[in-house]
This record gives sequence, C-alpha cells and structure tokens, in this order.
Amino acid sequence: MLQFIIRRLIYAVATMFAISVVSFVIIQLPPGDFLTSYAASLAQQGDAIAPEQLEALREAYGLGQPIYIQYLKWISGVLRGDFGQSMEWRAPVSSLIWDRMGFTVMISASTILFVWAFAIPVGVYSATKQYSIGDYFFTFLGFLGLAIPNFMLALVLMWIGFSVFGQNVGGLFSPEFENAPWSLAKFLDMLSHLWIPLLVIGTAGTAGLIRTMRANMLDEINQPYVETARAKGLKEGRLIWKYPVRVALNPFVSTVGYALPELVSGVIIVAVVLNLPTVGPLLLRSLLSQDMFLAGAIVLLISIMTVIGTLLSDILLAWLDPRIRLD
Amino acid sequence: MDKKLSRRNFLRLAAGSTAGALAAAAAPVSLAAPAKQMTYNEAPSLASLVASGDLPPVAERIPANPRVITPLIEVGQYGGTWRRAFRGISDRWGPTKLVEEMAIEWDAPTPEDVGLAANYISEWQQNEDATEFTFTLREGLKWSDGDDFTTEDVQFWYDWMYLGELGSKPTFYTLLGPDGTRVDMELEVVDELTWTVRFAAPNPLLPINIAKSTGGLPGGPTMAAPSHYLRNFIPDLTDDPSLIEEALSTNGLSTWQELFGTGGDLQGPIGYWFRDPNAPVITAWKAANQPTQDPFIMERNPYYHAVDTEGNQLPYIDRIEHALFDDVAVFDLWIAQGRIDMQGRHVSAANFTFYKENEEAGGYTVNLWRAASTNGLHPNINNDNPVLAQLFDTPQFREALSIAINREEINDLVYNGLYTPRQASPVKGSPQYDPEFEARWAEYDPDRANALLDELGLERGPDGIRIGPDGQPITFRILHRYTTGEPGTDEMQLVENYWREIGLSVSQDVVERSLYEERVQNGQVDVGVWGVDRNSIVIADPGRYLGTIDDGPWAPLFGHWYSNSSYRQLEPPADHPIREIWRLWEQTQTEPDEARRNALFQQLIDIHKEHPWQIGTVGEAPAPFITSNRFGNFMAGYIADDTLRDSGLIVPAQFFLRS
Amino acid sequence: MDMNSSLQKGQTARQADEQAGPQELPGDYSIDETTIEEKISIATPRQLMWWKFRKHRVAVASLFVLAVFYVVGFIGAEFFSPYDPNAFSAAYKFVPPMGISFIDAEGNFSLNPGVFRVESERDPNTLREIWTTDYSTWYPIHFFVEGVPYKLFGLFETNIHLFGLGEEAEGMPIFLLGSDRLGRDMVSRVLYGARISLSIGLVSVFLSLFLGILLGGVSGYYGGWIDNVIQRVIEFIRSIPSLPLWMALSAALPPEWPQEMRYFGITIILSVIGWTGLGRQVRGRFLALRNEDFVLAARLGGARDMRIILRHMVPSFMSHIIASLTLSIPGVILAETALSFLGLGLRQPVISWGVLLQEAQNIRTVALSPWLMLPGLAVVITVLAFNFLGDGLRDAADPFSR
Repeated sequence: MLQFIIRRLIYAVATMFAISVVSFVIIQLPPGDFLTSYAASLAQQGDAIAPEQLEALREAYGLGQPIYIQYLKWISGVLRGDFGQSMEWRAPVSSLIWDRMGFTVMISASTILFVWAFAIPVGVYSATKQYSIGDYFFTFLGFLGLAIPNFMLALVLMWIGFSVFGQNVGGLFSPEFENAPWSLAKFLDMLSHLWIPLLVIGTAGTAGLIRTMRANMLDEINQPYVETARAKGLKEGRLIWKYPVRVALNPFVSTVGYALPELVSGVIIVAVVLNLPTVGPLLLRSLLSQDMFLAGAIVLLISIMTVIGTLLSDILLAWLDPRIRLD
Repeated sequence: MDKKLSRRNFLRLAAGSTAGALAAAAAPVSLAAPAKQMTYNEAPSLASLVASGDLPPVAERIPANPRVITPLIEVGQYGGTWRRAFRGISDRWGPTKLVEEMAIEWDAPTPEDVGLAANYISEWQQNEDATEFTFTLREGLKWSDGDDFTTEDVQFWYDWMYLGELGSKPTFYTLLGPDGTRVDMELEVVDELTWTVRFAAPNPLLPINIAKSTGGLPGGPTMAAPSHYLRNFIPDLTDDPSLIEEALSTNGLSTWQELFGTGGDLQGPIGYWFRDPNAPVITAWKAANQPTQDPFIMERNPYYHAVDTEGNQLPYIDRIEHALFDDVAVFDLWIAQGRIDMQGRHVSAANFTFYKENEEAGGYTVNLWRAASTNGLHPNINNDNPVLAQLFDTPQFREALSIAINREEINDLVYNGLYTPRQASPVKGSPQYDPEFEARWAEYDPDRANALLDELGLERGPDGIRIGPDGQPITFRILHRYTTGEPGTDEMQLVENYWREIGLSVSQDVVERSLYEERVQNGQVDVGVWGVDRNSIVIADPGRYLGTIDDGPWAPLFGHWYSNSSYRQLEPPADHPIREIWRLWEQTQTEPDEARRNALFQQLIDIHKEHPWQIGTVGEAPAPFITSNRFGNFMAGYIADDTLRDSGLIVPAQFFLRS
Repeated sequence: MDMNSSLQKGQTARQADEQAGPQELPGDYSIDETTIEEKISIATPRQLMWWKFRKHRVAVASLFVLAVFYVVGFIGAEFFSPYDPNAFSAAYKFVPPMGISFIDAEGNFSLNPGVFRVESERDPNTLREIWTTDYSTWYPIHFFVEGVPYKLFGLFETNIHLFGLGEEAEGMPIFLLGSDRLGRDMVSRVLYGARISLSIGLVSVFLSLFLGILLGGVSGYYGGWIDNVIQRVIEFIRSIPSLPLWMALSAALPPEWPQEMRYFGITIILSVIGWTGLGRQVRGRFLALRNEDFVLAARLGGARDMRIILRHMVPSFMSHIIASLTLSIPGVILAETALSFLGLGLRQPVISWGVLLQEAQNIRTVALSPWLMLPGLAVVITVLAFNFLGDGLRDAADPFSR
C-alpha cells in the first residue's frame, strides 16, 4: 500500500510540474500580450497610450523576454509563495484570489451537496424501478438540466427572479446587505440569491451522477448475492440500501477527484452571467485580457486541486478495493 | 404610423456664440462674480464634525474667494448616496470623469453655450503672443487633509513629475521648438499663489487643452501634486525611510518609483486618487476604499473649493458607490430595478426600449444626449499593397465607396432610425459644424458610384468583380472587432453587400480588440473601422483629421512619421494633401489671434470636406443617461464627447438627490 | 426455422412434434412457431441488441427525432427553409412567431393551413415595435414554392422550397418562429444552424473515437510502460481545467483563417481534448479482454497485433463504444455553444446554434423577444435525444441486463 501511495505521489508532483508549464504556455498562446489588450481597452475608452510608455511598461513587466525566462521567473516566485502582481487589477494575485475564495468554496460546496443529495437517491430509485414512469421522469429531468445551455438558463432564471418575484438580482447579496455584518437576515438574503446558481449548476451536474448511480446500481442489482438476500427474507428497502448501494458507491469515489475542480471550472460561465463574487469571473477576465500571473495562478490552483483530488480518490479507491493496488 | 423618430436638433450651438465664448477665454479672464462675503453653509454630516471639534468651520475650509457654481436647474439638497456600477479597476474613466479637477474647466450652462471657466485658480492671464501664461491660485485653497495648496505643490509637480521620471510630458506642454525637437515648458513660481509658464512657441490652445485633459495626474489637478504627502515616498526628500519600506512590502514592489506608477503613468498605489485613499486631493469626492472592493466607495471632500449661488459648500451628495459587474445583462437588470441613480457609461442605446418600459417600475428616466461621433470606415492609404494604397488615395474611388452606402437603410435596419445618416464630420453644435461637410458624399447613389469606377478604368471582369490597374480583381478586407450581437456586425454586413454591388470583392476580417490595435499600429489593414469621435470641439483634439489616431487608420504610417512615434513610419510625398493639413495645424497651434486661428483651422477641415478620407455612415448616436427620479440638476440634450469629459461637462459636484 | 435446427438446440423430437401441431403431408416440414427463448438463443449479438433496444421506447423515439433533425437540418436545410437565413428585412423586425391557422378569415375550415397578416406599430415613447395580428386577412401557405435558388446536395440547381407564401401576401414573409432584430427568418436560421452544430458533434466525436481507440487500445493491449505513459498523458489532459484550455486554444487560432477553417480548428480542438474519456474506457476493456481465450487463440494462430486488435477485440466491445460515443456528442454540441457565448467559437456570418444563442444572450431578448431563444430549444432536444439514444444503446449492449 505504501509503495502504491509513494508511486502515485511522485506522479502527482510530476504532473503538477507539467501542468504549470502548460498553464503558462496556454495563457500566452493567443497573439499579443497583456499590454496589447490593455492598449486596446484604453483605445475603446477614448484613451491612448504613447508607444514609449507602452515600451516602458513592457520592460517593467518583463513581457519582452523570451517565454522560458518569464516562466522560470514565475515558477520560482510561485514556489516561494509569491504569485506576482495582476497587471489589470494592480494588486497582488494572492490577495485577489483569497478575497473570493470563501464564496467560491461555499457555492461549490453547496452545489455538490445539493447534487449528491438529489442524485444518489434518484439514481437508486431509477435503478430499482427501471423503465417505470418514475425512472423516465427523473432521467428526463436530469438530462434536461444537462441539455439546457447554462448561460441561457442563468439569464432566464435571473429575469424570472426579477420580473416574477421582484427580487434584487445579480450578485450574492442585495445592496443593503452587501457590506453589512453577518446576521440571520443577511444569511436568508444570500439563500434567496443562491437558488439560481444552485439550480443552474446543480441540474447540469445531477444528470451525470444520476446516470452513473443508476448504471452502477443496475450492475449490482442483478448479482446473485442480491437474489440471495431477497430469498433470505430481507426487506426490499433495507436490502437495497445496505448492499448494492454501498458497492455502487465505490466508483463514485473515483469521481470525487474530478468533482471539485469541475465545479469550479463549470461555474465560471454561470458566475459571470449572475455576477457572483467567485474566482470564476476573475479567471475569465484574466484569460481574456492575458493577465498572465493572475490567470496562471488560478489555472494552476484548479489543476493542483484536480491532481490532489485524483490522488486522494485513487488512494481511497485502492484502500477500498485491493485489486487496484496491483495495477 | 410614424416609424422614424423625428430628429430634433438637440444642439444648436451657433458658431458665433461658441467662438465668442472661446474668444473670451483667450483673453485674460477673471471671475465674473467677485467673491461676496456670504455666510456659507455645509452638509449636516460635516456640521456635526465641526460641532465636535474634528473639523474647522466651513469658512476656514474653503478659499477666501471660492468658485461659485450656478446650479444647472435649482439649488440642491444635501445628503444621499449616488449609486452607480463599473467593471473594475480597468474601468477607471467612469469614476474619474466625475471628479476631475482641471485648472480651467468647460462651462456649459445650456447645451448651446459651451465656454471655459476658472476652477481652482482665480484667474489666468496670457501675453500677446500666447507664449507666456500666468495662473493664480485661490487664496486659502486646501487639500482634502487640510494642508494648504500652494505653488510649492506646483514646483514639486514640475520638478518630479514633469521634468523628473515619475510622470510624462504631455505634448501641449512640450511644444515643438524652432529646430523641430520638443522643448520643455519652463515654469517659474512668482509667489505663494502665482506661477508662470513659458513656451518655445505660441501656445494659444493651452486653455482648451487644459480643459480637456489633466495632463499627467489622472483626476488632476493641473500642474500640481500634493507635495507634503508625496515627499514621504521619495528617498531624497523623506524624513522617514521606513514609510517607503512599508509601502513597498504592502504592495509587493521593489523600487520607490514603482509606488508612483509604471512607465510614467502615475497610476501606482501611491498618489493616484483611484488607488490611494490616503492621497490628498482637491476633487469633490475622494476614494474611501479600493477599486478592487465591491462596492467602490467615494466620500465627500470637506475642503472642496466651490459653493453654489447661495453659499452652500458643494458637493451636495455625500457618497458615491460603484458596484462591480462583469456581464452587462446584470447591469441592465440593475437599471430596471432602479438600482442606478445616474449613469451613462455602459448604458446601451440598443436597449432603449427595455429601459423605457421599466421606467415607471424602476423610478427613473431615460435622458438622451448626443454622441459627438460618427461610425467610420477608414481605407488605409498606407496599405502594403501599392494598388490598394493608390486606389484608396484616389478621391473618385473614395467617393464611389462613400455613395455606394445606403445610410438610410443602415439607420433604419440596425439603429431603429435613432442615428443620423451623415459623413464623418464635426457634429451639430460644434463650432466647426458645416452642413455641407455633413452631406458631402453622403447620398445613396450606386449608379454614380459605378460610373465613377468605370471612369477610373476599372472594368468588371467575367465574375462581376472589377479589375485593378495591375490586372488583378480588386479585393480587400474590412477589419473590425465587433462581436456577435453588436449592431456593428450588422452594419458591416450591409457595407460589405453595398461594396460588392459596385463590383468590389470585399470580405470581413473580425479580430479581437487587442489584435485590432496591433494590426492598425503596424498599418496591416485594408479598411479599418472605428468611430470618428472628438467631433465636438475639434480644435481641442484634431487627431482624427491629422491621421495620428491609429484606431482610425486612414494614414497610420504617415501619422507615425508626423508624431515621430516609434511605430512603423512612412514619409508622405512632398505634394500629398496631408502635408498641407499638417502645415495648417502647425500654424493654427501657434496663431495667437482668435479669428485667424479659427480661419486656419477651418481650412484644415475643408481639405477633408473636399475629399473625405474617413467615410462616415451614421452618427450622432443617442447617448442615453439613466437618472433616478430623485436625481436633480441633470439636463438632457448635451453633447457626449470625450473632449468635453462626458457627464463631467455639467459639473457633477452640483448634482443632488432629493430626499 | 426448420425442424433440424430446433432439434439441434436440444429439443426432443417429441417436443418438436407437439409444437408443430397437426401435420400436413407432404410438403413443407418447416415449423413456423418458435418460442422466444429459441429465437433468443440463436440470434446474433447484433439482433439481440436491436431487440433489447426496441424495448426502450424513448430511445427509439429519440433515434427517430434525430433522424428527422439530420435530414431536415443537415441535408435539406435549403429546401425546408423558406428564405435565405441572412436575408434581412427592415420592415419586419422582431415579428413574434406566426401561428398556423386552419380556419380562414371568414371562419371556414381549410385543409390547407395558412397565416394571418401582421401589422406593426411603433410606440413613440418606448420605440417598441408592436405587432398585431389582423384576423381579417388570411393567407394560405403554399407548398413547393419557388424561392431563393440553391444547390440540392451541392449538386442540383433548383429553387423549390417546401413552403412559403404566395403573391396574395403582398410581400409579407412567413415567420413560423418569428424574426430577429434584422428581420431575418428564425426557421431558416435554426435549420442552417443545425447543419453546423450537428456536424460538429459528429465529426469531433469520430475524431475522438479514432484517437481513443488507437491510443486507448495500444495502451490497454501492450500494457507496460506504454500504458503508463499514455495513462499519465490522459490524466494530465484531464487535470487541466477545460474552460481555460478551450479558450486558449480557440484564441490561438489564427484570426485570418476563414470561418470554415475556424470550424475545423474548433472541431479538432474539441476532439483532442475529448478523446481522453473514450481512451480510458477502451483501455479498460482491452485490459480486461487481452487475457481472454480468444485473443490467446488468435495470437497462437499467428495473427499480428494490429489484426488482433482490430479484427477480434474491437468488435467485441463495439456496442459499448457506440453507446459512449452517442453520449459524448451532446457534450461537444454544448461546448460549441459555450465557446460561441464567450466569443471564441464561430462567428457571423457562419450560423450555428451557438452563434444564434450568443446573439440572444441579452436582457433585451429575454424581456422583449424571447422567441429568439428557440435555438436553445433545438439544442435541448438534440442533447436529450442523443442522451436517451445513448442510454438505450448502452442498456441494449449490456449483456447482463434483462
């Protein structure tokens, strides 16, 4: 077991290193750099920047240097914990990300909980009552959530919230609670804003999970041991939840690794439309303007979470299922 | 059923009256109303601070002769929070234009009447040939922390930001000398309140340039900086080096110069009003937190130097809050919900119907100004392809391009009839406005267009595409950065169709903004697309007509040569009309006599009128402003132009909120 | 099914005889009735799959729906669209969807459906175009009308369209799904958009399939260090967040490329990122299968590796792969819409559902002209159909389900 863990750990570190290189490169891929983007946005505002100033800025930010040197400078900073300055926000990258981390984690966590709490029972139900009306209905609902493009759904729900419910839309709080200290009223206000992102992101996530759960359950339900238990007189409900479900959950463990970063990534578009104070819009903005240190840091962060998540779930899976260790 | 909105002339600025107002500006100006000894009033929040002894009384906070601002409509009430929205730190012009303080500012009591007024100076004088200007500060003028604003601050700015490495040298301070190189402005402090500047050549346009730009420190003031605060961050001047250390580590920087900014932009974490809440300012409101926070808060400056006609110290409004947004759909919903008290920035004319329908529920009104801009197509006469370059530089070819465009149809189809079909020219209300120029080559006459091209010997080939002088079909691309959903895409599609119909093989090249910048800077463009703006007081910013503004690339390489820029240059032939344009501009800039100056400038504009290089389609777009029904002293009907500082034109300090 | 066969399956002659019922002599000795178990036991795997698939009614319906979409949109877009999707009309902007009526202006029933005339008025205050239906004027819908010329299948020149309005309509176009801000017909736009959106899904997924089978197969079959390397690469690709990867790759496409090339570029990007899921599955199957007897037999028989892979192993899990494929197509279609939303996908004048959705993604549309979001419905139906189809295929291919 230990050997397994160590091997995976080494791979994880190597992967993270490779990811850092790729992250840096893909951010630089689009033609131009932050300054061309900056000059363009200035021009759009009717402002202009003298070429000499642009050159001075380019030197100051080190954008003129060859890419491997820029990468080395960046990565050495990162290893020291210095993520650099965001050129667009003119603030340290770490503080920008940190400010939004709280809400990002909270929204993602609520969404995951919502998704699992909904998907697992529904998957079980669907499997036990295969081809029934209930099965079709829930599968349909799940797929519907998956099929509707997220950004469109977010916009429509926001509009409904505004026109039908008269809600104060956009963002996570109504303006009067924005800077107020935490209280029950503020918490309730946040919940009233949270329903849209939960619904949008959650419905997209449940479909896949319902299907997986259902498929896993189907694999187990027809196994002889289930027949045996039934023959022995175990009540159906208890039977289902005690045995097949636990086995069916095993593959879930392997998906845990991808759950968190996928949610953070998938939330991006929706968070932009709904104006949520999370890392997502920050990432999108930085990618579009080629604010390399900010974008690089966030991409690296998400990738590391994926790698760690995969590692954890691999270890967990190996612990649960000894066959994997022999791989 | 009337499908088109009848277009009123929102602006009727007779050339004469403006010339008059601007003429008055050229002569020595002192405050029209000498400071009366009024009793001054102040905001209740400040009054309570005075009562508790935390703030000096108002009479001691404002200058002995404060600026008297006549409210646009009525005397206002104190109090309230003005709610707006912005996109973040890169969207600095929204907040900045609300608070800018230049020494000389635009003064527009009515849309027809735009002049200049002394702001935090009590007067300015110039000598006969406009080579020497003297400015006098208001006595008792103070920074927002109570420190006196004196010529010491002017000298500091001159030494460290103008001559020194921290700032930059705006071209209207640093004129071309007799030998063709730029000569620094000379500055001499006369006494505590007065200073004089001298130029190598006549600089009669200085007052206008000051009104349109702070010339260095974003947000202002002109030619000054808070020396008592900034000196602490300069190693040679500071009494306490640990302050510099601390600032560097908090901001993650390494050199003290970086604290002030990079490359001379003065937008660093120290001293820039937007990012440094501790920086002393003379603006009506000052930053209370960082623009990275949501919302970004600005609070009143107790030492603001202006009062209204009844002696109430301005501003009326206590606070301004900017909420952060990414996707404009959220902003539009905020407007509909009544969460925006007054804003024009990011408000899109395309959503006019949506805004109007929610007016009642949201408790606001949609007011229209007119944008001083015309959508424009810029055929590049410095094209790398010599055939195209030559064709584009041929007036008949350009005329054909221009009259092949059905502007009425574009206006109707794409813009709901709200714009004005016109040529790219100064807008109505501008002193340079000329209805003939507006109509020049603006009719829709594809037959004549075809005839013109036939006359040039460009015969149609077997597939209908005309053959150029090199025997190749005439092919070129329209370069633009409009994304799906923007009306610009529709307009470009129509233009492409129109030009195809006269036998040209045209296609579109859609690029991302920054790539557009790159391409036009290198002159790698056939026909560029950008609004021809700054068409209100053209003489204040004639770059479009000089060819020096790259995003409208009708002659980008010539323009670089003229401004001696480090980008790719190309010298125009000696007999090219652009030489005449530049020559006239040189003369205009240095002509002290008002009437002669305007006549020279008019000649310059007339060269464009004769055979326009910038092909305009539709312009004078309605610029909608959302104003809450509680918002006072805002008026519709003005020109929205960067030169006039957009809504800064009507002095935001006199806005108020009804309780 | 003749007697010999049923005898081969172990039935006694007596049973076969009983089943046959009263015999007729001479002549035909075949037994027509066979039991279901018999049928199942002698059916080929493919037949088995088909029968199981048929049970899943929704999946069958989905197959039908998709077939319709592909025929109407992909193949016959020009024929089924009444107008050119880019043809604009200043007089008919923001027309809501016109309803079909079988009852004409006088109240008489007509077998031939028609539409009522619409008139517009502009509210002088809000500038809103208000369209009202004039129930006193009814135009019959004409079928097989002459319209804009086009090339059917890219070969035959013709100008016949399925439906349209005749001359009595006085120039009023027929907008069954409404018109957009430039007066363009939404039916035509959605159909032409189908062509791009549906094909991106197919092409991209086939590319992924190719990559997945190749690399996944090699990885699973050979094992060892090749497997290790490919696995790490897969893991690596999956660790990079998808959105930034798409964005960077799309943004890196040379902007001078014409839209058609952009289309290919985006397809390739999506498949290069998407093959990993399939690759993993293929590898899993190969790992399981390579120790099977039949593979051993083939190897002993002297077959080369590639032949073993392609001829023996691949067909055995082909059905599973097909099911997976079908389930990944929707992902690609949704990815294209997401990319277009960000402005990095396809652009005007190319019409795809993603482009149409991007044009509709603003408050004005939701509040004033919601019919412009109908391409979203097309996306939803397509994605649902593919998902149900894939589900059905997977259930059918699974040898253990009932």
